[in-house]
Amino acid sequence: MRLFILIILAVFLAACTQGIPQESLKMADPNLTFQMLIKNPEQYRGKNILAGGQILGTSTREGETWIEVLQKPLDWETKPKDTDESFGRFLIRFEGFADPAIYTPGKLITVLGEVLGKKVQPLRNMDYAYPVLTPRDHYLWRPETGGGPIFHFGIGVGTVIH
Amino acid sequence: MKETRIHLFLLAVAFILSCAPLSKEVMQQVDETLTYQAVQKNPQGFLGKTVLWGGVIVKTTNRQDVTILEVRQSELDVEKRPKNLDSSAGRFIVHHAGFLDPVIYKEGREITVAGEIAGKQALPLEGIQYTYPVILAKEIHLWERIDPLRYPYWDYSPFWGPYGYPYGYPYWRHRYPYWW
Repeated sequence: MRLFILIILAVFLAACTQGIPQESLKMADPNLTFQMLIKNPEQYRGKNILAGGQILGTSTREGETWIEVLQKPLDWETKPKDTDESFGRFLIRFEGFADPAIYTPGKLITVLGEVLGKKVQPLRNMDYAYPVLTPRDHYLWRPETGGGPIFHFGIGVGTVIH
Repeated sequence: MKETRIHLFLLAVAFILSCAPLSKEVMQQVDETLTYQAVQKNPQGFLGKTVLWGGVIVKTTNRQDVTILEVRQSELDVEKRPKNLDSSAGRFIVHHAGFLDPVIYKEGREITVAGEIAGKQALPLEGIQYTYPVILAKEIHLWERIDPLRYPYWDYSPFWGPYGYPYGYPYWRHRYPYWW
């Protein structure tokens, strides 16, 4: 009986897990971190890495879509954390069309991708060497709105200058 | 009894001092008497000195090997975090050797920086020529955003009354809800 409950519980837990499924996670190279990747993307070409972060922009080309991501550390469910910690940016190259109206700036994305190499493109007034990943699997996180009360009391402690 | 109190007090002081956001090595180089006001008029007279200033980022510029932050100065509190953000004695420029992502170090974010005074630079600002003191960053601390949405303590609900949290008014004004 106990075992049965345990199994039910396990199935339940497994079923409600969000993010990248276990089977895909197994493909990731356990020794490869984003920190290593960004220093020398070419060296890790062909390896699979698990990475995630916040979408900065999406651009569609003929037959492909490029998503620029600000890397963030991942939590236990492979969700990018809400933090300022970041080791840099990377690009995800999707085959075909990924709708920019869905992959909007600000959303969080986790990707299990194969390292394709690097791409240098301008960032403000400088050139930035982006690692490029081809997604094997990815998960777009729903923006967090639910849970708390809809009514928020805006305390003006943080200043915003326009 | 009296002694315990003194000990507790010393502990508290030590704790607060150890909370400085920058490393000890850098803090030891800092000359805290060199406030922004003292240096602003004549940065050339303080070349090479290390100061500890803070404020709100106004603009971030990325060059190939350097990131330039334009900062609106504010006074620092005991934790060395900028306070009274609406009052400022002026602006200064921070040069950081290397890349700081402009998406993270962006307009509106608060920083505290220890840096070496490197001179001054006059740049146009809203139609005038503004003379900025320039410092070369030794260490920069970026303060976490104070975002009410991140902390459920601050959720306003009529149940809690007008002050947000049942424990009352002063706590949600505190910048570190996770201390409690």
